[in-house]
Amino acid sequence: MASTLKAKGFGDDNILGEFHDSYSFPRQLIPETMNDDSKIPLVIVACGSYSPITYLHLRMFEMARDHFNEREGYELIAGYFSPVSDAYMKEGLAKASHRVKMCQLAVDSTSDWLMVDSWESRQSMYQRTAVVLDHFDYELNQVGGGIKTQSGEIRKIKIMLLAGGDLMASFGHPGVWTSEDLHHIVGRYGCVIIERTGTDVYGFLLSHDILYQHRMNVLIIKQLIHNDISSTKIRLFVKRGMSIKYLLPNPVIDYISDHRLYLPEL
Amino acid sequence: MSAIKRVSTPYELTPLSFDTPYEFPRHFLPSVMKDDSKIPLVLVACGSFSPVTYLHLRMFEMAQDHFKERNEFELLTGYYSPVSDHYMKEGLAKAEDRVKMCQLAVETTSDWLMVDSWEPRQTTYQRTAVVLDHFDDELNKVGGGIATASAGGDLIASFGHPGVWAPNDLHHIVGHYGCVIIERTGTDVYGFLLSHDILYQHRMNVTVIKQLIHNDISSTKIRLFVKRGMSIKYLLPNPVIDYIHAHGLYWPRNSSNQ
Repeated sequence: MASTLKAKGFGDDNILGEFHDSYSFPRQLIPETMNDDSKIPLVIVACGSYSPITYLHLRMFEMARDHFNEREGYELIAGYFSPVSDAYMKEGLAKASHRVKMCQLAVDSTSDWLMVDSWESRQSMYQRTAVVLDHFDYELNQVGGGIKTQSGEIRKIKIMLLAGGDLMASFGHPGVWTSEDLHHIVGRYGCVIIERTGTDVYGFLLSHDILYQHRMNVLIIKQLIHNDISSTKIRLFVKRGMSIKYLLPNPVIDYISDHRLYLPEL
Repeated sequence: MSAIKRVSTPYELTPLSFDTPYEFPRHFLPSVMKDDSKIPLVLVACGSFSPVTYLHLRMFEMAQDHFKERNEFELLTGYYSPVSDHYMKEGLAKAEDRVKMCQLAVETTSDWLMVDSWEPRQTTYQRTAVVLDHFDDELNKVGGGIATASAGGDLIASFGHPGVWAPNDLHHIVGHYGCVIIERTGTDVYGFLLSHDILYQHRMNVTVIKQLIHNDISSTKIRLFVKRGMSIKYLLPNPVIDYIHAHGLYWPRNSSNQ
């Protein structure tokens, strides 16, 4: 079944990115059966540059997991990082294959429920977030057939976008998101927003028509430990020869060092 | 279902039960310095470290960056000196546990930091001024200082933010030794330095390092998260998380979470 919003430029692996292996959707940490039939099975997806991935990115997922442990209603099955394609042309972006590899090093060495999907990063054109979520829906529920309950029934996995407050704030910037996409992302799927201290997320929710309309699908998690490790600063520190230790996993630091990423232009 | 998931890794932890006799750690202290034109420097961080966090570890990294830039000092090594149990602060795990967690943190992540257990082994609370004297004694008298071409001076500085200190102690700490202060965004350290008589008097001995990445991982919050069954992943090294879990630290009393 085709997704409602079509992906453009699909199928051109390896054009940007420089991947050396062929793509396959990672599902090794998706269980066959969910634990609690009374809940809705949920997968959260975090889109971003991840140049490089940091402990803050990893913490976002942990905070989300704590949140869903508390709430009735959802059983959090797994989480995915979806690094953006090089076609996004953002300053400071290392090659997609590097960024994907660094995310993989981070989750492999530290996590047992997070995975990295490279579909978006392999596309030769920038893919809108709405389309990326459709891709996950397709892979998890069409190809993967959803998930089984304890009683043997097949259930669709709900997918939500995990994001920081800055992404949500961008929903308010004119011209950045089409209404159709916003309805698709927040209405058809849903958003988990990590609120940064100092931002007025609830006020923003109230003021934004489309978000307000789908407010039951917008979950806000307060960031209790102010931990602003930005990838931009990390790239800057590397450029200036300063330490980035304890801001991101050691294997990622080693990768940056081995591949000489983010050094000043000569 | 507990949110704290054990990340199992086998570590050979150097056993440091307080039954074993005390030894001042020197394994990362070089016997010869690299640059004779500089003053050899050792940093000491006093604190509860209940538990040690990535912020505590970052402090030393920031200091290392800072002193690499300056030409005055050659930073040789850094020590954690966990406070004794007699400090009677709320939330303090047993000294032995806190020392072991610091050791796990530095042994699995660092190649230049050490943990000194002299202070926590004392039967009474030791003022920071006294702790610095102990380091001075061990490094310069017992250890003989460090080899330079000339008989160079030596300096030990301590991290800290001035709380309630006796003036004599302040003169000793900041005057005789020195202070490296990590400035938190939003605090006006320079204004404070200006306003505080003793600090101002010894301002040449006070180094202020700006914290460029706002990273407020407080041990208090971590203890609270543990108590509430929330995740503390990526806030402190995994071996320390495992240790907290394995020894049931910071859980609520009379909890059925055992």
